[in-house]
Amino acid sequence: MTADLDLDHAVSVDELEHRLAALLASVDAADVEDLDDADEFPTELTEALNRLGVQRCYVPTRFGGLLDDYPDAGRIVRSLARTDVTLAVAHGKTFLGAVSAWVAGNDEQRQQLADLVCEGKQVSWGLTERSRGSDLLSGDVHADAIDVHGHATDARVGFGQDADGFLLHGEKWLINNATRGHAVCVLARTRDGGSARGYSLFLVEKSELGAATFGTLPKELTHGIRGADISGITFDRAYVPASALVGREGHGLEIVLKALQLTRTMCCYLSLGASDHALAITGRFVRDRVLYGRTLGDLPAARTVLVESFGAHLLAEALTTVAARSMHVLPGEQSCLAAASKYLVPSTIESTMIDLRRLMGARSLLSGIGTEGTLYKVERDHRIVSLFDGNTVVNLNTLISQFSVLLWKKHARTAEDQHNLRVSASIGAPLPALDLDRLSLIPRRGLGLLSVLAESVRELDKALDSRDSGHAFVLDCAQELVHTVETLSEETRLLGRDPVEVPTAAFVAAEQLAACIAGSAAIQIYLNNRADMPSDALWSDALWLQLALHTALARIGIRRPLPLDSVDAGYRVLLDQLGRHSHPTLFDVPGSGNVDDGRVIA
Amino acid sequence: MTSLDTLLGDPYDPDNAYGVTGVLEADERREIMAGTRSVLDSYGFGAEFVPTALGGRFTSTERLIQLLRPVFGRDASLGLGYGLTSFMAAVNVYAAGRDDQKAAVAATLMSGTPISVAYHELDHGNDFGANALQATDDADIYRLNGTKSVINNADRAASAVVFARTGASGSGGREHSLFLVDLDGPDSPTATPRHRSLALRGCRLSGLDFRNTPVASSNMLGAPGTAVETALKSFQVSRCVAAGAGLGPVDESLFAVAGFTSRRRLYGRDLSDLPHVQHTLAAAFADLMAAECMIADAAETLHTRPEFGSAHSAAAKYIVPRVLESVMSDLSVVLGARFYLRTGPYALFGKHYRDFAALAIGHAGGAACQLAILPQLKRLTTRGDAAAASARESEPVPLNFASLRMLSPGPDPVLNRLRVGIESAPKHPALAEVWPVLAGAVTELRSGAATLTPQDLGVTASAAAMRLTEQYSLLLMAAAVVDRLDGDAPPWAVLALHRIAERVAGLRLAAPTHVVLETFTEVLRRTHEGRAFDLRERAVPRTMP
Repeated sequence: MTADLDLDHAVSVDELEHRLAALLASVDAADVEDLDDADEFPTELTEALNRLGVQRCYVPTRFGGLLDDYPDAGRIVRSLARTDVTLAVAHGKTFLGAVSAWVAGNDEQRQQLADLVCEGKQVSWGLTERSRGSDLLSGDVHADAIDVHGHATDARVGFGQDADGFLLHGEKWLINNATRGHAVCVLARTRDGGSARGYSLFLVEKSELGAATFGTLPKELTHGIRGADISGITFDRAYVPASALVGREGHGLEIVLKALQLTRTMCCYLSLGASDHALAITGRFVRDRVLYGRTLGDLPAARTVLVESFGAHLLAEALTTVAARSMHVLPGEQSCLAAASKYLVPSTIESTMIDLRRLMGARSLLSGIGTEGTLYKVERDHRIVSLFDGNTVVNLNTLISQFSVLLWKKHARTAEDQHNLRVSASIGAPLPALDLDRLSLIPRRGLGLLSVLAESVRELDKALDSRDSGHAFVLDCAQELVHTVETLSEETRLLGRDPVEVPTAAFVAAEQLAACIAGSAAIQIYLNNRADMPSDALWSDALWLQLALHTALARIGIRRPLPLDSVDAGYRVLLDQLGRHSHPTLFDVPGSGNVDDGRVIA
Repeated sequence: MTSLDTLLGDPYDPDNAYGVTGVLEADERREIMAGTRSVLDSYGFGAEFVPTALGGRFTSTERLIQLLRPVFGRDASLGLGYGLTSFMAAVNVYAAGRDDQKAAVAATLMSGTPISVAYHELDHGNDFGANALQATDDADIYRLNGTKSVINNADRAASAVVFARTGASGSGGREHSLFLVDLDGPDSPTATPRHRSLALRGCRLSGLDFRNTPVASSNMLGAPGTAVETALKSFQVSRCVAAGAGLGPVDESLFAVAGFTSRRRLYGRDLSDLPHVQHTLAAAFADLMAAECMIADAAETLHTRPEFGSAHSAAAKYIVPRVLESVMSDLSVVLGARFYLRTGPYALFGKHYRDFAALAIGHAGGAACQLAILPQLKRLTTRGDAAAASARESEPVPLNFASLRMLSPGPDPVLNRLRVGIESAPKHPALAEVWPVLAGAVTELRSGAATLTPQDLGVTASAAAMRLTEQYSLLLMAAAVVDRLDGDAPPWAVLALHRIAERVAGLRLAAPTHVVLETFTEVLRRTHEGRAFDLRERAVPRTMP
């Protein structure tokens, strides 16, 4: 369906964001939940998004879109998720479907795709199959090369140069927007043998397929994101021209793995949006609920749970911000950073949602009690994030496979490395253009965040005022992180190295490593931005860093209870942000309300 | 195999009228499958909620929990809707009612008709003291005004136990009274529209609207002003049973996921060959067994040491749902994308997962339990006599409501049994690392409890104080497992104790690999042999999906 774009369509992401905010502010949570209850797709709202041109954020500026700053695109997705994760997934799926083409397509393909997307057409990503799950190397869907005479070329053994096209055959299942979408980017086997070079990517427009050669599968009823189109597509020797091949034959897997680095970081913005929503619902409940003669938020134990959840949210935001900015300045590290973020952010937010649900009690499960939405809906919708685009186990396995380069080798750090790390953590610093050619499958020179951790503790010591009560707490936490990394460096060397039968201890180590990476990201965000932030309560006395590092340590299994004053201060800040209709964030600019005027940073 | 297992049949048998397909279809329609309800009717399940002295079959709390296990395992809405919430209502009557009131309730339950329990008001949650529904004295009747919300079966029950304010605020805890209110008469309160619940979809959760509703004074339960006192007794029993509601669903879920892992291949192996999968399944089994042990012990306390009932029930209701919810979470990761589907062979898992979110919260959830423990903690954690080892298979001592107390009178005998057990240097080499951790935790708990301030004993309790109640609960769970080590320390028990010690001390204490493997092997054996994941290893009819 072609979108009739606003005649004066937004010329910048900022402008789009303002219009989008106005649209989302008009959405009634009750309508959203009625659709959800009926398993219905949010058609009206996605069409409104299309008219606004939100999909232009999924397309690089070079091809007529608005995407040049990755964190900007992330903020858009976050704001969609804050209203409804189903909406964010239904609309934002196109980013995931298109990204392989941005990574590896030729200019003609990319321009064509860009035009389709900007028009409002949806693109799916056809990776998974019914009996194959997350093992991309075992897919059965195959693409057989045929020559100009329509004969199979001897293709799956060696690729013939005269392939005119391919016959796609097989079924992709649990594919978001497979039915409603216009196009699907399909990973298919082009060679026998299940080798890493056996797969290729095809950008398939359904309108170009012979009607008898493909079909879509019925919508699957799901636990959460109930309205989303989770279906599938079957190909029955469906002809696609050679021009549908994205990147080189046999490079499908590599392209997908690089594309996943982009999409995994984008998924973290989905998590943040859901977390914004959950904290808003619960924070306001805790503030307003009167019992035993005082508010629930006045009760220390309840207040602590809420503030710890706020701290987890801020840790997640810090890591996501650094990861997204690193896409521009440290693309070579994304294979680590994307996996660490895609593991840590959704799983941390899942944990928080359980705690918030227990705090809210029965109301969290009953639709229509408040006006802001039902907490359990947010929780069950959010649960999809840790399932797709590389689930928990896949991302931890990625980190495990990188132990040697991350933990056992010391990498020399150049001045350029230092500079790039600073830029990745400095919100106001301009970002160089995205250069996806620099994405790599292994972080060859390690991870900057790990390399600088010990040094950053010394910097913290100098930066913090020792008279501040937060000073000791932050330093203690930071030192624990350093110590943990050292311990992991030793322990991981002793583990079994079977890449398939990975011992449980390796998973535990990877989880802890991800938490250390997150903690380091938080420290870098603090050190590099504190001078620029207005002296608001969240930044003074390193309050937010206390809350965030407390979470990082908790994820490692180290208990450092928050100082009581910090709990109280954190509670006041959270209520203040929610009171101004802001979402909870590190980068709140007071007086802006994050909605109308003023620059929203994250 | 219990007769209920036989009657409910194999959930995955496509010809089973009471199988998962029907359960899930009904759940989609926000209903409990009529068939499963009639199974319970024909079994005469209602009688299980009625003490033998009143003509029913209830003899022991533990027995009731075991009976409910397959019912909740098939459908949590069924377990709650058919009986558990009725039982929660009835327990108030058994505790405080006159003989004629008890007889009336017994008759209702045995006919399979529900009774609602109406404490809850949306604005007050667990703070019953603030409840606003008013009962005003008017000659020989009371007039009730106000609304109760989120009441199961409010639109179907024959009667309701209603918590109402009868005295002025500040009358020192004697401001509320309980009434047994008829819901079928012309002057009865009206049911409010059904809530749209995102979990336990089959439960009929609505509310009751009282507008000058006349209730005879003779319908009061117990003396005026005794509602809170009665509740604090009846909750001890119902909390214990409610804590057990999760056992069945987790049992079924473990079976489903174990089956999945032996049919699913990944990276050229069966999923069940991967170490982290084996660990997850083994840990799930260990935690489930530990939970059952704790609940069994808490149930026994109600009968044999009722003065400690309030502490033990609250501890079980606090910690067991948390531990089991964590198990469900870990299992869902193994199931991967299929966990998220509402149809297909693993859809029952998803339903149990959703319903669990509500089970964990329902009926005086976590914080209320912690607050029940806090004022008793100092006394409970002092050194004192250890309980004798429990004589598990003997005749149950009848439940005596009059012996239930609000506060425990002295040192916790079960906690002391744990202390003594650890101190006597037990000979289980696989547990060598666990004993010092548990011993340290007992000591820390005692010293922590000793420093609690008056502000820490109530709603203004600090997070640190609340954390002590968690420690206490975990140590009771440990005690329950230690009590079942017998001579040869079954692998599941060794694994469970490592995990409890980890939680209690906040450090990593990995069990030896062979223990994990042996526990995992046990999971596979029971899966293939049709044995439940319970202490009795009962035979259950179920085939792998």
